[in-house]
Amino acid sequence: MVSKTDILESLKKVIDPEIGINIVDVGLIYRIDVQEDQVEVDFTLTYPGCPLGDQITGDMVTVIREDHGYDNVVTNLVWNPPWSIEFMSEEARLDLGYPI
Amino acid sequence: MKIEIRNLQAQIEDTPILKGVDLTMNSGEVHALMGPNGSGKSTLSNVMFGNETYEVTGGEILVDGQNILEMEPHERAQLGLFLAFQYPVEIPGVSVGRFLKRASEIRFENDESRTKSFVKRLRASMDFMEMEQSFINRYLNTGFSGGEKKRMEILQMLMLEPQFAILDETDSGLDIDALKIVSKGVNKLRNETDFGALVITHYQRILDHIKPDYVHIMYQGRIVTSGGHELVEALEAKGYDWVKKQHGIQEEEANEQPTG
Repeated sequence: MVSKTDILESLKKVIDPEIGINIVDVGLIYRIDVQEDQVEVDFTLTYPGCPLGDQITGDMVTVIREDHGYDNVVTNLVWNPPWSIEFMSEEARLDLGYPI
Repeated sequence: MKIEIRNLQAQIEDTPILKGVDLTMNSGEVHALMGPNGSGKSTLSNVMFGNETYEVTGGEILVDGQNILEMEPHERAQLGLFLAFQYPVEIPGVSVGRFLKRASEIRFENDESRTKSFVKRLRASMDFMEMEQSFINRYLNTGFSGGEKKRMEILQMLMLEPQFAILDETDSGLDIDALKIVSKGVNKLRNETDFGALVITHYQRILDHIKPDYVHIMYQGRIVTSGGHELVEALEAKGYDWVKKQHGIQEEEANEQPTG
């Protein structure tokens, strides 16, 4: 059975086009739920009105489908808690010049 | 790694400083280089790394058979050489963390596991060097005390794992506590990796903590004698005047023998 970690590893292939770092290390993935026939992902964007939501959603669905064979991928765009720089991994923050 | 310095000659502004230095060192060995002021110790380390202030007028430096004198400093570093500066430079705007991460990525470019665990390893190394974690975000050496700058040089060594390091008077300006921590770092590399070092120093003190396998004494641009720890003791007891008297003469009992 596919684990949350497996899904997370796949999602690391999705790059936030504005930052150039994958969406997991940016801290955009809030929740993953793996069922037998469905994967559900709650995610956020770095700011409301970010125009890349559809692209990121599409990339997530594609990679989960390709890596694990799930046809049914449900994505939910949530705004709580609001994303902040602390959600970004320390390695990513270093790369961008933020303190850790 | 094998480093062979053969008949190296160098000058600065037409003043000859190195007048034929011969020295062979291997990773896995710690060499100490002592000598009075002006003997050329720092010039040797500067020339090894390609400081263009000095003009090489003869001889060669072979690293694993390859003459590095034609190579740029960064190319020499990529071979696995490291210089711990006597006077580390301040680089405002570049944080310690970002600098080390980038250098580490270049050094270990094909090693994914090292890249993934970078921050964890950095924090552990900083604890080992008894440096506050907040130093990660400070600009490189900017506003650091002398001791903090020297510990920063050793931290770089721990993170980049060079094959051979030159420590250019690392002990100058250090109190006994800082000296112990610096030595702890060098000895860790020595015990855990195939690491070699040339410890350039004026005083015996650091050699109590980093025990050399070979000791060399430099005088007037040449290495005049080599030996084991007994040389350090002779220097402490008789001073550099003794070296002047011995200059050019083979010391009777000097053998290249490891002490450690």
